[in-house]
Amino acid sequence: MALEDFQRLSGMTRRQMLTRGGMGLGMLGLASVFGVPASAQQEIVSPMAPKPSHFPVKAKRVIHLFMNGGPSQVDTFDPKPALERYVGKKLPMQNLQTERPTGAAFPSPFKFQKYGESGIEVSELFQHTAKHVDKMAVIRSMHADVPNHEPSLLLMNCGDSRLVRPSMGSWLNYGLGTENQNLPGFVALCPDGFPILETQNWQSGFLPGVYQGTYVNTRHTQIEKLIENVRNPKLSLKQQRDQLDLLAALNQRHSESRPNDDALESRIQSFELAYRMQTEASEAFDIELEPEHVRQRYGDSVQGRQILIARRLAERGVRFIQVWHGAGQPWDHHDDIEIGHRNLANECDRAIAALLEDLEERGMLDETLVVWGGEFGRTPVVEMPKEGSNAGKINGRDHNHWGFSMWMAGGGVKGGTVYGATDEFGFRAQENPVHVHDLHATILHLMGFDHTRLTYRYAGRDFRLTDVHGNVIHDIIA
Amino acid sequence: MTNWNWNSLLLFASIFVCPAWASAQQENADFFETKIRPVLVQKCVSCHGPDQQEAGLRLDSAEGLKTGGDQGTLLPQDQQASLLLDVLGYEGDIQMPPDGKLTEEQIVDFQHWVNAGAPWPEAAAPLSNSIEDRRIQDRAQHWAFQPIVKPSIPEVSNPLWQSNPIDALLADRLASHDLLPSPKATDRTLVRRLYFDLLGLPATPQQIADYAFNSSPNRWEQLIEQLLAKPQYGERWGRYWLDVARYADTQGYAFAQDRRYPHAYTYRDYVIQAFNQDLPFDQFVMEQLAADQMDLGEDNSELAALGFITVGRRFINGHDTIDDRIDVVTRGLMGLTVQCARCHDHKYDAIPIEDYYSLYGVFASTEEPGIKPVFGPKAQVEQRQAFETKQRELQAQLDQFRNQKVEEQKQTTRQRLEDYLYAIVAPPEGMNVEQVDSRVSLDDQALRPRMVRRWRDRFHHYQHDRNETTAVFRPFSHLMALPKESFPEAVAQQLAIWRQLNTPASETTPPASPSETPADVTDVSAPPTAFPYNRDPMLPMIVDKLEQANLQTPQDVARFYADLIRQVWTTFEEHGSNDDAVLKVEEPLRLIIDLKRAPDSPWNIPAGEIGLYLSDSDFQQLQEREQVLNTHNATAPPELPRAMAVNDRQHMHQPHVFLRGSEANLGPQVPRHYLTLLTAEAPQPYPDNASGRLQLAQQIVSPDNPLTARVIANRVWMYHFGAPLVDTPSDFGVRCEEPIQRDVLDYLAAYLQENQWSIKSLHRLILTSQAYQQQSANRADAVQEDPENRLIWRMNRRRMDWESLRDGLYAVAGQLDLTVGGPAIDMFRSQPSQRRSIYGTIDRQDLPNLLRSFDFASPDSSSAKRPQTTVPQQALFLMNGEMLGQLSQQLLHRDDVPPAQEVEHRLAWLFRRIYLRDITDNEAEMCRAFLQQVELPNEGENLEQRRNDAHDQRWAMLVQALLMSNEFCFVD
Repeated sequence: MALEDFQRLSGMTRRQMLTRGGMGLGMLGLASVFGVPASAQQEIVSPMAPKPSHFPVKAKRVIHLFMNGGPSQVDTFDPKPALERYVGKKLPMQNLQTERPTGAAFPSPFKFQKYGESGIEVSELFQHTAKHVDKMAVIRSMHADVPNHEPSLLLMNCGDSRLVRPSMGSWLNYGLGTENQNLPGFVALCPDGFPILETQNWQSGFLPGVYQGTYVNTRHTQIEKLIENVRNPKLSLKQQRDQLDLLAALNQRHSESRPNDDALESRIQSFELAYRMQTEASEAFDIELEPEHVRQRYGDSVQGRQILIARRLAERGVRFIQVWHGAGQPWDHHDDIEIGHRNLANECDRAIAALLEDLEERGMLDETLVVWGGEFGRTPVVEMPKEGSNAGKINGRDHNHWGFSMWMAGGGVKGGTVYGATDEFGFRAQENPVHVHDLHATILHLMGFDHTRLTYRYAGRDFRLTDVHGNVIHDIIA
Repeated sequence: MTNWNWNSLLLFASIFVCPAWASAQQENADFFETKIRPVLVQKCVSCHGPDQQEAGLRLDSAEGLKTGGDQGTLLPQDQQASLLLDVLGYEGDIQMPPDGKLTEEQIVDFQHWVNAGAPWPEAAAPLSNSIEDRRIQDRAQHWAFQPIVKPSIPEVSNPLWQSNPIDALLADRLASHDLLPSPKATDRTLVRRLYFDLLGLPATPQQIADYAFNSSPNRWEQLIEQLLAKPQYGERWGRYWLDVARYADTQGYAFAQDRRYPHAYTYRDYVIQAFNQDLPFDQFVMEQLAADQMDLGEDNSELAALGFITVGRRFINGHDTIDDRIDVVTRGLMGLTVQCARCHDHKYDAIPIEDYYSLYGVFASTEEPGIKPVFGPKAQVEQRQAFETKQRELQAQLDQFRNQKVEEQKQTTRQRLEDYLYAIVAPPEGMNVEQVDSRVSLDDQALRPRMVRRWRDRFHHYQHDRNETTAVFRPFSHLMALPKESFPEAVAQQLAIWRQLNTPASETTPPASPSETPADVTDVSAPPTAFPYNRDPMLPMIVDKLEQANLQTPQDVARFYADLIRQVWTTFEEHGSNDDAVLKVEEPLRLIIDLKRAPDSPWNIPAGEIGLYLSDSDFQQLQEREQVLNTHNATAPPELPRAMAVNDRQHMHQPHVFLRGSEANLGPQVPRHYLTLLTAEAPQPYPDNASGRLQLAQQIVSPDNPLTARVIANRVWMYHFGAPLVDTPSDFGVRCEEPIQRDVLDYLAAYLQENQWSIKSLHRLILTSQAYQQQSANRADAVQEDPENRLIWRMNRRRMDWESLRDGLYAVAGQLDLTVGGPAIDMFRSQPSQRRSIYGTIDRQDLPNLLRSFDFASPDSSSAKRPQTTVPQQALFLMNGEMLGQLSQQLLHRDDVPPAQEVEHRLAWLFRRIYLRDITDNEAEMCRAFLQQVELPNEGENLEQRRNDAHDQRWAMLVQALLMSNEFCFVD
């Protein structure tokens, strides 16, 4: 294990490490022998304890609004009036190879309009979110590797489309720890079940399991169902306090004859932490504690609820919060895109706008990075019928990894910016193309990391989120 | 540079230059070759060599060294210190090598060398870091590649530590650090430790007592033998191996298919058995790689061993699946990270990319049989195989018959499409189109009611669907509804109306067939005359076509549509029936292709419902065939376990290098063979007619391979002591430093090889050592000297891993079911199970959070050691999860629990049961106080019962606290 990896895992400084011989994890302990006060010890031991980044952070946490399935860029953030000229006809370019056969140009059925001082054009689908366009950097030149969901989800989350690698949230928790020890550092919210690929989307890969995302099914409204084991079904808090006092006394007696063992001590602490977590986590997920007008603003819907939960978690110091639109791949409109996209945008547009507004009002936007997007975009041309894969209605769009849009707002992002462009029809990223690796490098940069130096040694190699790729997009950084 | 270094260097150097001149020259050369060259090659010349000259410096020749770079010469000038040594010493601003200081020993070597005038032998070969050079150097120098030599055993003063060679080696090293080992642990601690270690289960009070009262001088050895003979031993140690083998019961993500490996358990059971039977480790390795090519026992059960290759994650891309297999074999068995050479030569170890693809060829020449082989007693296997062969044959016959009939029905439908479309509106006399789910008697000629129904439903859908693409069919029902008596006129009238609707007002023209058209027909706003004509706009294109069709009867309308459908289908077929062919059909007719292609189209009958379409005579034939299959299935012999086996392909794969790991970038072809790094001469290609798995397995366990024995010995040590001798148990490559206790490791490895690779012998050797039986208490003197316990001056205190914790809790509650083996049980999600944890389903795609939070080994790739974390989720599970609450109550319901009234007695019993010791007065007082704090109900119904319940609950809370405590969860 490289020195730096060890520091990240243990939360120790270089000096502390050297003092103790710095040879590995086996010796976590004995701190008191060297006169480190007991209160500092338990912090040192936790792999989730806050840790310094490479350079000062611009954003302390991330809320990733994951529009899984792949929203269409030409219907949301990348207006392409040129498509109107070819309605029902072939584009004057070869259709790029995507997953399925595609046909004629398919202009957006949605109206675009300029918003904010920056005058960035956004479609009516996100008319509420668009009011905050001056806070956003819209990247219109995203591109990924292949037009299929599974590899693209893996790429967007873990930086590799095939192999088992830790997800971005795991990397950030490994790198920074988390600010609230009473809550998980990485939470994945998704109503009704998992996205496709399930928990692989928030896997910790070869990083220790503590860095994996904690899944919460936001369809539920009862706290016991939201978080595993957060409440005792039979005992009152008072009874449980009695029980933990007895436990503490038993443990104390046990430790007396086994001094200077941090493993014992940190396990004792973990019960106290768990006890507090019951209250704290319950509160974090309980949106009933929000005033009526705030709940109104987000909307009384699944999306409204879960985006509000995301804000509550961010407020409490959760490092990485991923909000998935829904189970499976909801934005995947191979047919009926007009109806489908309208419904889905209706579900989340107000809540996203409310989030940006709310974060700003609370003074949290500056240090919270909000990221919006899918695993890829959609074709500007119509999808043709294909046996067994669509309903043959010829009114939807195929996957498109060649070019798509994402936006970021808040923590260190230069608002009111448009970065990059697709070609005339919105098919391929043409100007300043931004690969997913570049996006990752930029997010890590905003979180205070040189993406080439946040590494973990595993199976003989130093791994990173961006592998051997990635360039920070400095133009969208404030 | 410190003074100490200089002094010792001067002393050392003066000794060095003493011998006669000629031999001094030879020594200079040797010193350069063995001490200096490797460092220059590994650490310097990639930036200061032929390819790059950072700071204008080259260190690949004597001249380069002398000339120096931008900073001047490197060697000492006029009393000044050497820049080279400053830089290596990390003294000034320039610190080299940049990725970390050299070891003290290497720095002393350089001081020595520079001081002697930096002699660079004239005959020295050019300096490069080609992979070939690295291979030669690493083979000569890296500790792990050196043959295993049994160390000489030192004399030690402590008589207790003399008899076991491991003790002697450890005690000697401790003595050299002025440390003493720790005293022997108590009987209770030792017995508990041994049960935990060998079985993963807690000892019982009786077992502790038996040991304490056993007066035999060999009672420790007896206990070891007793535990090694228990089936639970294999479950404990087999689970460790499953971590290495990245075992799981699912293949990973699968979009629509079943992702389970229903037979993975046979590999798990094989591993458990292998440990229980003390299968020699070399044989164990051989069987896991090549059981299919070995002489197997009577029941072929060794085939299950091949699961080692196949239970990994499956990737969409087959190369990644092979990559996973190369990794588990090389890292899991030999501690080599060969996977790193997939895209380019290994950066650290001398593993060229060609060698990766040589091994790739081995696994690409290996395949999994479509039907997993059964195993078991020979007669049963043969019986089962005979049954299945016959079953497949009969099933195939049945399928073929069904498919043939489906095809016939499709052709008939296509030919008679007009009849079917007409029947939508006017079913033949006596046909019931409403009830089509059961069979009716049919002759060859009759229209099939269910087919009529399929088309009717589809056309009904078109009629109501407002989507533009289905508009082609919308006129159908309107036309069919026109009065039969004046059909041609009515058609003309209706078409005229539609045409009118399609024509802009300014271009209004008279209707198409003026002769017999009623006068008012051109006025579409006028009320219809005799009949409620349809007034929805229709597609102009279809109206045109209908006009040209000269429709005289409703049958003509049906024929018109049947012809249209057949035409489109024919066009589509003529262009190849693929996605491009779709484009050959104009909109809006493309929809018609869907009628042919879509799985739910009326034309596509599911083979399973073909019986409903068959004539009576065909149906009888179908039934006969089904009957034969059913009769055969009724004779099925019992299911047998199946092995996740592999076998060699018929034609071996001739691998090419994939440049930069990309299959699109084919490099040279390479033969299948072993790693060059591990062969003295160039490796022999594997036979043309075999994948090479057998040969590879033989090479891995060959006595010439120093890695395999060291790697497994290190793992075994790690599980006994809680810490390995080599910190990276699956990476023994050049970046793995020689362990402090190399002699212990080598002794273990040699011992293993000498003792027929018996893992149980290795256990005996380790467990009977005094080192293993030490106390685990910290000692202030030793902590200062060796805080990490590298010198093993005490036993490491260990927290129970997930399996022993869960199994232990079930065991003390008297709830553990010790059944061995069998299919995986979904115990971590839905239903609780009393079986041991090793039998729980491991879904690698959705590994339960529970397992994650308890540091379970990730089943995504071979796991060298489990992480050790302490997180509140672990505590929450114990505090609030259903499992522990229930077990606490169950423990109190054991038959041997003293009654609740006898508080003292009961508390004493609980402490003995859970902690294997007597309760102290102080503890008894604490517990009594806790019990007295119970809140009792004062009023209401069933008061007595509810009060009793409250007391019971309080007791259960107390038990739960005991079970959650550190004393239960740690092993001293």
